[in-house]
Amino acid sequence: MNYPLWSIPGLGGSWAVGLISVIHVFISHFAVGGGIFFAVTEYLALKRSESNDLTLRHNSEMLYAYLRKHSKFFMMVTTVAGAVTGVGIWFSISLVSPDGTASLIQTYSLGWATEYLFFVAEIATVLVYFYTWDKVSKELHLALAQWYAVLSVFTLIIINGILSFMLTPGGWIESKAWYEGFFNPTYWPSLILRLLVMLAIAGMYSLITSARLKASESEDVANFRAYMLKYSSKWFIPVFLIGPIVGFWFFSQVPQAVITNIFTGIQSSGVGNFSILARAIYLSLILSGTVLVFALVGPYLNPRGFSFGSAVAFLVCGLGVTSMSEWSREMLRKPYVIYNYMYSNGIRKADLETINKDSFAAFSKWEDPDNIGVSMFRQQCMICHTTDGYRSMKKLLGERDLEGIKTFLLMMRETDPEKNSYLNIMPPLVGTDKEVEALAEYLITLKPVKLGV
Amino acid sequence: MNEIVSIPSYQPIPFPAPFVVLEVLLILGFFLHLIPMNISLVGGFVSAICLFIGGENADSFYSRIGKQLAFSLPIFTSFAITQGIVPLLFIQLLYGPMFYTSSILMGSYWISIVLILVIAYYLLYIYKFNFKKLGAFAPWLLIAASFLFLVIAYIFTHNMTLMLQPEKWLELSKSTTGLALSNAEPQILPRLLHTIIGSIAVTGLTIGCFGLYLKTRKNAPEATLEVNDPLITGSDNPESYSTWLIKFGSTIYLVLTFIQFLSGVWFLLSLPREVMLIYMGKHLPATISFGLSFFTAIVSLIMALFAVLKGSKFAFVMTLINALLTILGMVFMRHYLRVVETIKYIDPAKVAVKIQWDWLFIFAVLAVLLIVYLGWLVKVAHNAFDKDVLN
Ligand code: HEC
Ligand code: HEM
Repeated sequence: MNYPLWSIPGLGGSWAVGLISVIHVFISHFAVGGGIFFAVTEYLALKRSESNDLTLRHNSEMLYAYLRKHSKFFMMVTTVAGAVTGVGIWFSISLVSPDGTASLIQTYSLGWATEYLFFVAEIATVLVYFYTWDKVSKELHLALAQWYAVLSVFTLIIINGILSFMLTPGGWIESKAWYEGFFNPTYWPSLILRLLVMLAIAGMYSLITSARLKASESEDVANFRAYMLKYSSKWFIPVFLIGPIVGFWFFSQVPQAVITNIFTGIQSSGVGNFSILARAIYLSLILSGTVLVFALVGPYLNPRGFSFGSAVAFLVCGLGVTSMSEWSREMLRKPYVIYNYMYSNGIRKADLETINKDSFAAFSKWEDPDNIGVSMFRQQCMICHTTDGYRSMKKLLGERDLEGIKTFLLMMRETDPEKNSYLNIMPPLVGTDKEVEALAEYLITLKPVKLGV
Repeated sequence: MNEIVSIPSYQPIPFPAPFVVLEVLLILGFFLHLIPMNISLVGGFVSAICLFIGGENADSFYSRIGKQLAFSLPIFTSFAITQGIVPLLFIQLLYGPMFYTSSILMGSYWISIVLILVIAYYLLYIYKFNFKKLGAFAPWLLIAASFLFLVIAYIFTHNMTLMLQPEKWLELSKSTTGLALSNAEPQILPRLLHTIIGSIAVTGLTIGCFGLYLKTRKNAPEATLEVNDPLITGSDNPESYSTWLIKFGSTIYLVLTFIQFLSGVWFLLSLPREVMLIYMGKHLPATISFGLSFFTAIVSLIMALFAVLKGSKFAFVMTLINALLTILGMVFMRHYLRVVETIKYIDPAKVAVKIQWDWLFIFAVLAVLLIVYLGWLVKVAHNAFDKDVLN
C-alpha cells in the first residue's frame, strides 16, 4: 500500500516468488544436505584408506573417485544456481511484498548481515574444496568438507529464524524484541524438519548419481553401485523415523486458527481453496511417505534391481513434495505476510481502524483520485488476484451483479470472523464508503457486458 | 509539470544499529562488490581480445593471460554476487522507500537480472571446462557473458538513477507491468560509461596483479625467465611473463584511467548544477572525497607510467594502492550524491534506532572470525597451488 504494484498481466507477481523460492529451497537444501553428505562420505573414505583390509581400501578409492567427480556439479550448483536464486528470492519478495520485506529487514538486518558472513565462508570453502582435490593432504581436504558442512548448517540456523518468524512471530508482536521473533514457536521444529529433509535430498541426489553407474561395465562397478545405492538410501532413515514426530510438533506450534483453516475452513467459507490446501498437505504427506517406503524397499533391500528410472522418479516426487510443502507453508500464512501483524497486501493489522476512519487515500501513496476503484483494486486485491488470469476476478465475481458485489464488499470489510468467513484467506477490505463504492463500480466493469444486464 | 507522489514511509520498526554504522556498512559493502563486479563485467571482453590477439599461438603471452583471466572470471563473479548482498541489504534498509519503489516500477527488468545472471555465469563455466572442445568459438562465449553482464549493469544503473527521481514515478506507476524504462534520462549513459571504463581499468590492474603474484612465487621460476621471441612476447625486447603482465596491465590502467578523467567530467556535467556543486565546496565530506580521490588518481597515473616503462614491482604496487583509494573515494562521492538527492524526501538518519547490542556484538565477533578463516583458506589455496601456478 506504501508502494506501487508490479504484476505480470494474467499471472500476477507472487508466482515469481513461488517459482524462484521452490528452486532455491531445493538447491539450498541440497547445498546443506550435500555438504553433510560430502563430509561424512569423505570421512568414511579416509578411514577406509587407512584400513588393512584390501576390499575396504578399494572401496575407499571408489568413494574418493565418486566424491571427486560429483564435487564439480555440487560446486557449480551451490555457488551459481544456489547463490543466484537466493538473491533472486530477495529480488522477488521486494517487488511483491515490499512492505513485508522492509519489515523483515528493519527487524533482522543484523541477522541477514550475519547470514552473509556464513554464506561468504561457505562459498569460499566449497571453491577451495573443489579446486584442491589431490593438491592438499587427505586430512586437510576432509577438514575443508567438514568446515563446509558446519558453515552451511549455520546459514540454515540463521535464515530459519527469519523464515519461521513470518508464520509464527510469537512474542515479537507485543515486545518487538528480535529474539522473541527469531526463536519463535516453530523455530526448532522447522530447523529439525529442514535438516532432516536436507539429508534426504542429499540421499536422493546420491541415488540418482549412483544409479547412473554402469553395472554392466564390470563386476567391480556393479558392486560399488549396489553399495552406493544402499548407502544413499540410509540418508532417508532420519526423516523416516523422526520426521513424523517433528512434523507433529511443528503443527502443534502453529496458531489454532491456521489449523482450523486447513480442516474446517473448507465447509464454512465454501471456498474451494482450502480444501486444496488440505489436499496439498495430505498429498505431500502421502508422497513423502511413499518416497520413504520405496527408498527402503528399493535401493536398500534390493540395490541391484534399482534402476536409473526409479531414481529419477524419486527425484520428481522429491521435487513435488518440496514444492507442495513450500506452497502450503506460504498458504498457511495467508492472508498475512507476517502472521497477525501485516497482511499480504502490506496493510498492517494495527492500521485497519485508522484507515477506515480517515480513508485509504490518506494512507495509500498511490491512490489516483480520478480512478479510485482501480487504485483500490491494485493496492488491496492484486497481490493475490488478476483481472482475468490467475485467480481471475472476472471469474470469481461469478453471477454477482452490482448489488451482489456491494454486499460482498460490505462483508469483506468486517473484521469479525463470525461475519466475514473470508478472513482466513483474504485481508479485510479497508477504506471509506465512497472508496468501497468506487471499487464496486470498478469491479462490475470487469464482467463481460452481456452478463451484467 | 510532473507531480511528485508522496514518498513511501519506513516501517514503524526501529533500525537495529546506529545510522553511521549502517551507512559505513553500505559504503564499504558496495566497495567490496564493485571491485570483483568490475572484473566480471568486462573481464570477458578483455580476455576475448587477448585471445584474439594471441590467435593460434597458445604460447604467446596474450593467449596465456587471456585464458588465465577467463578462467578466473567465475570466481570473481562469485565474489561479486556474494559481496552484492551487503549493499543490497543496507540500501533496502536505509533507502528502502525509494529503492523498492523504483525496483517495482521497473520490476520485470529487475527480476530478469536473476535469469540473465545465471546464464552469464554458466557461460563462464562452460568456457572454463570446455574451452578446448570449443576451439575458435570459445572466446565468443566470453563476449556473450560480458554482454549479459553489461545488460545487468544497465538495469542496475537505471534503478540507481530512477530511485533518485520521484518526479518520474507517478507516470511510470500507471502501468503495473514493470516494463517501462525512462531511457531518456541523461545521467544513465555517462554513469554507465563511467562504470565500464573504470571496470576495464580495474581489469588492467588485475592483470598486473597476476604478474605481481607470479613474481612472488618461488616455485614458478619460468614466470620470471626472460623470453626473447617476438611471437611470444609481442615485442622485440626480451621479456619475462610476469614483468610483461605488469606492464600490460598498467598500460590498460593508464590509458583507461586517462579516458576516465574525461568521462568523469561528462558525468559531472550531466548532473544538475546544484548537485555538481556539492563536490566543489558546498558539501564538505563530498568535497573532501572528491579532492582526495582526485589526488590519489593523479598519483596512481604517475606510478602507472613508471610501471608501464619499467615493469617495476614497487611502481605497480603504488599504482594499485592509489587506484583502490581513488575507487573508495569515488564510492563515497557516489554515496553523497545519493544523500543530497534523497534528503529532500527521506532521511534515514532520522529513523528511530534501538540498538540490538547482542546481535551487533555477535556480528562483530563473527566478522573478525570470518576474516581469520578466509586468511586460512587463502593460505591453504596458496600452498596447494604452489606447483602449478602457470596454468
Ligand atoms: C491474501 C490474498 C487475497 C487478497 C489480498 C484478496 N483475495 Fe480475494 N480471494 C483470495 C483467495 C485465495 C480466494 C479463493 C479463490 C479460489 O477459490 O480460487 C479469493 C476469493 C475471492 C472472491 C470469490 C469469493 C467467492 O466465494 O465467490 C472474490 C469476489 C474476491 N476474492 C474478491 C477480492 C477483493 C475485492 C479483494 C480486494 C479488496 C481481494 N479479493 C483480495 C485471496 C485474496
Ligand atoms: C555479477 C553481475 C552484476 C553486475 C554486472 C552488477 C553491476 C552493478 C553496477 C554497474 C552497479 C552500479 C550502478 C550505478 O550506481 O550506476 C551496481 C550496484 C549495485 N549492485 Fe551490482 N551487479 C551485479 C550483481 C549484483 C548482485 C547479485 C547483487 C545483489 C546481491 C548486487 C547488488 C548491488 C547493489 C545493492 C548495488 C547498489 C549499491 C549502492 O548503490 O550503494 N549486484 N551493480
